[in-house]
Amino acid sequence: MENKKLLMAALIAATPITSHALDYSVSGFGSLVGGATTDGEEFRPHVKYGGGKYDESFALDVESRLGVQGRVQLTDDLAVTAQVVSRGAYNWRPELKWAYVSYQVNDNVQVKAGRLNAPFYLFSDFQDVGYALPWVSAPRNAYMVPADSIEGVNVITSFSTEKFEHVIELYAGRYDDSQNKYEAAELGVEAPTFGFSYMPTYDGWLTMRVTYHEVDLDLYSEDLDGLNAGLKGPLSGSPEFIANTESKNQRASFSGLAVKAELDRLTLIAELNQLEWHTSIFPHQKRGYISAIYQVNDKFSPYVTLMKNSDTGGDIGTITEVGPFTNAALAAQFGESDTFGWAIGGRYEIADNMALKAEYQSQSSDISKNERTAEDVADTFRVGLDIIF
Amino acid sequence: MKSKKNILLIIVLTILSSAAFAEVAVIVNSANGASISKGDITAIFLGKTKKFSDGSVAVPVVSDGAITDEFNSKLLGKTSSQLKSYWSKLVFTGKANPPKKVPAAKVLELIKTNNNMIGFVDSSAVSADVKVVGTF
Repeated sequence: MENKKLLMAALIAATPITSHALDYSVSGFGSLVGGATTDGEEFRPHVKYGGGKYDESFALDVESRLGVQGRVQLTDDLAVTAQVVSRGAYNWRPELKWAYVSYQVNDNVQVKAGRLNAPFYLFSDFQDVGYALPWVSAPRNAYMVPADSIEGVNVITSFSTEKFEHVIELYAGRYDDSQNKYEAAELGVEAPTFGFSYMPTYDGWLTMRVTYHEVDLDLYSEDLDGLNAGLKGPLSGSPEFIANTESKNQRASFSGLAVKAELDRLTLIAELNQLEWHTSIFPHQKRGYISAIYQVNDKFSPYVTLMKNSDTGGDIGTITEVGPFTNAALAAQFGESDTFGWAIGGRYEIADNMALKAEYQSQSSDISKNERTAEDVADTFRVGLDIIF
Repeated sequence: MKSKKNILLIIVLTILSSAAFAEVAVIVNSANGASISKGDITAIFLGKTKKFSDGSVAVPVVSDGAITDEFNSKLLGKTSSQLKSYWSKLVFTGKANPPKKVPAAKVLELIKTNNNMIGFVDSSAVSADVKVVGTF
């Protein structure tokens, strides 16, 4: 809230300066994506937009989205940027994704304050801009944090040494996804957080990225609250377990490694991401993918992606007060699971600002080994049309 | 039949060769004293720097057409859709905006009258009142 007030104050303060010579730009992006699962299972393409999932019937509203971004340059160094995105998964209700003031301290340092992107992944910055991605969507399995915006401050430093270009991003602020509080089976989140990413690029073709984020979460979840209420009576003798199901102050950390190599016509991209819960019963998630994209000609770029999830169980232990049936039920909810997936797809340039994409992906899990029934283990076919304007 | 095919071939080759051999001249205002290398041009047109080597502000302008495709491929090493994709990443992350697009016929005039602009034209169109920093 404080940041919103700051932003408003900055906007109001800036208005007289800009009234005579307004230097502004408006840009937009849109993706129309349709798909269906081919094996009768369900597939959620985005962990946050829990309302949207594919099933056997072809659906256009799960991932389709439209975004508009406006930027007003107040002085040579000071600008205000806002981005509004509406998504089919949220009944096209517009959402203020970003709204920030940016100040270019010098050629190397930029400071932003307001509602910002949370820079978890290699493709966080333009995850919604389908046109800027080689795939129908970034591999969903490794993009697993149920939050994508923060309110706070970040500092981006970029500089060059010899054959390297370096970008370092530091931020501190808070997540607020509590707007989804108690929507059916939706996880709402409120939390202070900080993090950094370091991304060196060698000789223009080899990019590496390392990132770390930490957060103290307050969770809003009907499921978790239900579990708490149900367990508090019989489990009064296991205070540690009770603490681990509490929805307040659960510390989590996210870390990631990424590599992108652009070798003439071939681009290789790999990410390995890890979400760890320090105290909670949620499973620790270690997930990655590797993708190869080949540019056949100016128009056509097919790709193949391999995905792997290795989720170890949450901090449950065995609770003596309840019988084996309850323990098995808990394991089924929070235990370990391994899944493997592959995808094959392609991008075709229809026009300078428009790309057509198609993808088939298949996920499987080792049922004999897994305690938990993994979600999103499905075979899914999707087509998409991405534009920018 | 055969001669028709030959004529067609000659026409196609002529069109292709004229496109392939169009020479791009990168131009600045004649008062611009900064030394500008090929690397500087690339950095300016990809939004990686906003200044000339002497510290003055650099304002790149681009136009449409065949010469732009030549420029994109020879100096930026990108096809027009790759360049669109590149800019969409920068625009939608608030990092930078692409160069202003102007009609090809206006480029010379703008460079003549603006000290801090940099643009490109077909080298056959260059006039004496702008400074050529390189042909490619």
